[in-house]
Amino acid sequence: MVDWLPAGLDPGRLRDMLRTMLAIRQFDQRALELYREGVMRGTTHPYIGMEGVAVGTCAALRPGDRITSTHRGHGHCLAKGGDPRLMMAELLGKATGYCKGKGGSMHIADVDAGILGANGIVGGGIGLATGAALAAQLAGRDEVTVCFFGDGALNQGVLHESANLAAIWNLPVVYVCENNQYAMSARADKFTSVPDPTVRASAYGFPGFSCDGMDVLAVYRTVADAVARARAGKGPSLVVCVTYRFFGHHVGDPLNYRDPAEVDVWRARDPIERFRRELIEHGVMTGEQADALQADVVREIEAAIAFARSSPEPEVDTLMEDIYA
Amino acid sequence: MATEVVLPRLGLTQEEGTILRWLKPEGSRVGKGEPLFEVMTDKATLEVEAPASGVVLKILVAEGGTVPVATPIALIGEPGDAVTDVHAPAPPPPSGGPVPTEAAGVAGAAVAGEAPRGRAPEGRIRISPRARAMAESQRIDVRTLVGTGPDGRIIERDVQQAVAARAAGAVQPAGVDSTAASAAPQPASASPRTVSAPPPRQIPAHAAAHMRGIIARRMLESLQTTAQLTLTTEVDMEETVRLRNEVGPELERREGVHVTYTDLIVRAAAVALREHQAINARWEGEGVHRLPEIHIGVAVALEEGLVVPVVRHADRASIAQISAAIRDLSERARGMRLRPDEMAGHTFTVTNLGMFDVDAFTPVLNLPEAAMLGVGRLHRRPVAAGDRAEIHTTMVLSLTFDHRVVDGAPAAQFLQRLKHILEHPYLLLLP
Amino acid sequence: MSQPTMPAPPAAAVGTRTLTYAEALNEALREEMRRDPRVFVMGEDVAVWGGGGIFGVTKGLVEEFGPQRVRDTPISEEAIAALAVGAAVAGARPVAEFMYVDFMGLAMEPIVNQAAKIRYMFGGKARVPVVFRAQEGAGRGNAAQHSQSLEAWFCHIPGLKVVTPSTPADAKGLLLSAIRDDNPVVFLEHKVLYATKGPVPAGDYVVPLGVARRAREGQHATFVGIHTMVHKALAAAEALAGEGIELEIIDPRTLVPFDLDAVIASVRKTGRLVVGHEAYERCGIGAEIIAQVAGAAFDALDAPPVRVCGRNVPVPYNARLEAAALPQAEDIAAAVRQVVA
Repeated sequence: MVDWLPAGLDPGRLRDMLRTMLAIRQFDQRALELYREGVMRGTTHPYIGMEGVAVGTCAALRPGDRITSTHRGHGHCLAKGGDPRLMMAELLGKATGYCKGKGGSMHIADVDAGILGANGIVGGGIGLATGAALAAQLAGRDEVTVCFFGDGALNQGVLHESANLAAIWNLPVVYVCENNQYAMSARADKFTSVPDPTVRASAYGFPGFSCDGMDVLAVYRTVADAVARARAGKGPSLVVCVTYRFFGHHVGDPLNYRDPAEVDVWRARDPIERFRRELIEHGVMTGEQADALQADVVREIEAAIAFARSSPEPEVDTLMEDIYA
Repeated sequence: MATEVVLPRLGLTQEEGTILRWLKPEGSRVGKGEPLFEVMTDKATLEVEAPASGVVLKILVAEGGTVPVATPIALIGEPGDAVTDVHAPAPPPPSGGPVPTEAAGVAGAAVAGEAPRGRAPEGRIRISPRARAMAESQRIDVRTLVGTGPDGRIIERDVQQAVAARAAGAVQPAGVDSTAASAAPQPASASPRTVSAPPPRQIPAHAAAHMRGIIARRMLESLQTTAQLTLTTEVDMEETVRLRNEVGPELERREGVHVTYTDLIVRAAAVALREHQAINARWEGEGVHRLPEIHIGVAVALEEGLVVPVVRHADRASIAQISAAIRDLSERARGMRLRPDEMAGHTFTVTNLGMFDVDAFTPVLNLPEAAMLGVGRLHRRPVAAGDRAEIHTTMVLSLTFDHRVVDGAPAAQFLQRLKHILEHPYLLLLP
Repeated sequence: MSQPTMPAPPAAAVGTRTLTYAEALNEALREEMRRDPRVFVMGEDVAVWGGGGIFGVTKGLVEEFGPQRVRDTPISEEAIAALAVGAAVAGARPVAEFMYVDFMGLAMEPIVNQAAKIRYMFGGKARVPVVFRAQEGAGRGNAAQHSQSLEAWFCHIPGLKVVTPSTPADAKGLLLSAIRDDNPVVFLEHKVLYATKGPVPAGDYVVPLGVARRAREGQHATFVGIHTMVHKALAAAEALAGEGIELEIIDPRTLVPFDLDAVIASVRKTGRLVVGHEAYERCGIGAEIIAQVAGAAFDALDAPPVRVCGRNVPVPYNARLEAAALPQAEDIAAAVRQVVA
């Protein structure tokens, strides 16, 4: 067990990590169902299949550290300690949601918990995360900011600008690229000028690491190293986690740009299945305990949905509130 | 604007009447002087004539209704006239006391009906929102207005001018004279309440012609409908001149007013009117109506015509207040910036042609007043002082009065008293 | 309606000195950075460039506060804005400078989609106390891409505040207010005004956002305008006074939130409205002001309101063409004569 168990983790934390991965999957599964049921508006972007990245990354963070998220942000939010009840309520547009019903799925945030928001603009969180790192540095706070973004944002201009700034200013930020290989229908290997995005880090003079996004512990180890670098004042890093979204970009995605056979290949590498097996193999838990964990998660998510459904809608006269401080 | 028909006072002690019969139904046309309705008083049944020509727009009191004197009972005008200005009936007069002035005018022709020449009210009227709001509040029919704004648009100053022209003429619109709202002239230091507008452009010919037309009509009406004649007297102004020389600089220093002879004459007239209330009256319906308040109009000559702003409660004002008021009103009159209420409600008028070297003249009454004072020039000439000849400053006063309201002797007594006050100007101190 | 409440321009108060508009801004930054350690400045050439910024607004600041708090950035407008937003959400109070308002097109995403909306989208649970400074304006032959006035872009977005000082005293007082405001403020200066001089009180002189200033009293017409238009209107007013026309001039100072009451009070008095801005006429703030006044005080108007604005053309290089493309004092005077006709 000693070799396998990464530094900084103990069985308790490992079980928590599995639980969180299960919760993410259950949450997004149920979100899809709620959407089809018609109680969710707009759209939803399922994180299903990518749980290893969010959970492995956030396990490497302290409570005071911050993240910025993407449009596909439910997993990040839950992994950083978000409350599924408040998230569900927000998805259903209720007044009790994280954003009082005014943000919806793509804008869920809990600034006090260090979640600086999901974002509806691809790459929108990159500059924000870099700025948060700047604020920490200016204030002398021991705080690292993780920026989640996808392979689609690799080619947004703001990444280039922000990375450069982070490098010249030695900012405590870790750029975590969730390379699920598709930006809607755009294949990463076709639309990014280099086959391995990690080389782009060298353009800014900071290290780039690649890891298997379907292996939560691999993600954890790689991100933990990058976080340690940042915390030690050694500046930014890029961590590219290769992963896959089992579902479409959003609900209603025709998915005609993906080969179903490819999906099967990745499904066989399901990060939850893999981690569960690992934990059982290494005696961290039994199969029954794992099942109990799943059942617990199902109950928790159902309770969250019940909370959301029974919550009130926001009053219309709250429309113009909170525009200005 | 529609003319109100009110229940007239048909006898000295009559306080109310009962409408027996309307001789013209609503919607029918009636000529001025034609029988309009039958009324029963405590003494007799009488026919009453229409006070104006027009259409009977509305009958306010049905047959059989009993109402006090001066209650509005019908409206006469042209279709489309505003019919909203119906006043609450005035309280019945207290027995034996002076009659209240809040009697809706009966005798006057309405302002409406003077449609500008050649202008048919077809299509939309081009008028600014501000002007329209003002016209509404001043009860001016916008169809009678001439626009001097761009593209002939009616703008604020056109409404103001129409109001000025209305007041410059003889007749007051019904109900304008409200004693309750009036206040004494402002203290000398108060600033004018209206904002002056930019110096007006040369008034377009058609607007000036319009004003001329109204003045012409009013003057003719005054001469044709009253029994007016003029008395003159010569006043030795030595004492008044001395007063002015002594007191003038003091007042200028203390109150910032520059006292003129007109100011002093207005004050003297106010004092004299207080003692001769028969002069401060008007002819209304079938009898004399004495007025309890003294408001003196002061004629101001403009290039295009004449306006008569009014110094209200001249009897209650100090010389400084009168002086300030006349200066302010005159300035604004020249700028065509008087408010309608500042040109209404006079009970007496003073008009001065002395600056043109006129000695005596026959002023034409500014209806509905009963008397008007013309002031001639001040000049020094030899007079008899005892058995010697001295050089004194003298001035002729010309008093026109309406013989229907007051006879020659009382008019002459009033004029004599006025002369006396000016020759003994400490009497100006009298309340 | 009451007259606009305005702090009278500081007269000979103790501690009032004559400063340029740029010096007044500098003083505001310096004083606020001393007072609040969370405030920091970032932008292109704000620190090292001789004189502190191309107009000297940040002069001397890096010497006093150091390169951490007075940060030069590379040419990265989007990231400058985005980092400023992120830093503000995370507890700092950044003042981000854009060298020309024309460059803010690159920064529209973080300003419009992030800064303006984060508080609202997050249900009121975040603050974005950021100031985006830039300068606008033409008249120097800087041609089309360096001469624009784009305040209308920002006024359009709920969640932003927009400030446009026209005097040195207002520049200082409003910048202090903007930095202390917990909302994103777009603070737009004018390049031609930087060298203008005026009395500026020393010390904690704060001008509140959202309050207009009556620059001149008059009875015959109301002029509402910003930046150099205030000064051009004052010149026009001199000429008009000789014709017996007294022009009242209202400087809104803040465009969002806008002191509509002050304008309406003036229009109720004068009955006539002229609105002016250097920005292109089409869809400029003039249209918004007139629409608001017409909606709220239609019956006070004695004439149709008139706009005196930049022509709908990119600002040309040639001097005569440039002057013809921009509103001048004579244009203001002509417009006033038109409305009082």
